[in-house]
Amino acid sequence: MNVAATTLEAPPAPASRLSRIAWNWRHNPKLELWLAWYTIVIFFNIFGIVFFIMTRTQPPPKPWWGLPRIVQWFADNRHGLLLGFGIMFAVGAFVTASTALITYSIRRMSVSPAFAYSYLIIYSLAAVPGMLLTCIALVVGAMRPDRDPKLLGFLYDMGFLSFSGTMCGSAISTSATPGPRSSSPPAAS
Amino acid sequence: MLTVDRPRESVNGELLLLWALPVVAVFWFLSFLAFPGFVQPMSPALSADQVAAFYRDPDNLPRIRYSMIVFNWFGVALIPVLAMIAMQMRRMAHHTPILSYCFIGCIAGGPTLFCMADLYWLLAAFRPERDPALIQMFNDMAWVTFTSQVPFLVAQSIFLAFGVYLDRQAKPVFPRWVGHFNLLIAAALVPAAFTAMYQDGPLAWNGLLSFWAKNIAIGLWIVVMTAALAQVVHRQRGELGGAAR
Repeated sequence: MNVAATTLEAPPAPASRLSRIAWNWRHNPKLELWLAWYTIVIFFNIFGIVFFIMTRTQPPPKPWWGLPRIVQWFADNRHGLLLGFGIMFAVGAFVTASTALITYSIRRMSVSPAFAYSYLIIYSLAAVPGMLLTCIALVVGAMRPDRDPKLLGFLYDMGFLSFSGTMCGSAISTSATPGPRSSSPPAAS
Repeated sequence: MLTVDRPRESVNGELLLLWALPVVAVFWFLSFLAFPGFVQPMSPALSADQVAAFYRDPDNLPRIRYSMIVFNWFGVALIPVLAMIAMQMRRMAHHTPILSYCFIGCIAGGPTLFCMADLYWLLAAFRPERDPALIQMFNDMAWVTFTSQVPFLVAQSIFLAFGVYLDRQAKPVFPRWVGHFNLLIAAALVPAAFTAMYQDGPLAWNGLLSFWAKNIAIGLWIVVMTAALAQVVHRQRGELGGAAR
């Protein structure tokens, strides 16, 4: 990997806020890491607003509700579900910035790169059943409030059952951390 | 992922992967034309009985099944080209491989979601004598998945655009217009994410933005990025000399 020569002869950072943003864009050697980090902050703020406030899917509604209560839940949250999950369908994959940043951190550890690549693939894959399939099922439920209540019940179950079971990737990151340390960490490549 | 140790071997076989794409694209295009729901995109405003009649029509049924089976065979064939773009991102003058990791994280998502949409269409067509309400639900799931599932395509375009902008070297891997082009494509894909909100108009799944603009943008991205990639791959092979096959 080549390192941009411009950073070696960077001028001093200016004082004003706007000029400093431009300076960082041009010269900050950790720009890519900061871009990924800020993407995480922005993404999870949007995620929190969508799941907790707009769609009321977190904390999840009750699994023991009968069909009339489920139909009512879809009716109460219809517009929030359609707009909120539309937002997730537009920006949902920016969650990979978080996965990539942790993958990069695991690459810097003194363990096999297999840990890092496993983490990257597991979490990229987990976003499909763990987030998007949930959103798809609930959006399909919300788009036709006059659908047969039995089918709305099926979509409700499908949405919330799909939401769980994506956290196995954390085992990869935690098992990577206690690896034996070398005196100089290997460069990620 | 590491390409610097044995640069010549690392590009062996790339031309095979690259030029397989136009062949595969012929199958995509024929499948697209074969599916009766695409030529004149189905309206979300159809009743359950109208949707069931679409699947029960003996002219439509084999075309639905065969087009989706062929899509399932060849849908994942986009991945080698995306993997080759990721390899080129590793050659960019970045400080870390993080943007290429972001891109790799997006690669499998689009084709996976596309296969899921195919599955729902096939389920609807598998037993068309089922209750029309069930057929309509599978049809809704297929269209919502096919139309709204742009997140990985949006994110990978933006990650690639940033990769191009931050590739600060005398001879950048991709020219800067590739970055602008990817941002434009991402903007064209975003409206389709909101398709379930409307059953008519430009955002409905058969509408101008959600169907035509989105699908033309995806087609254009594949054509333009394959051409841009081909240029880079051929240039890289020229720089590496004769050993590359």
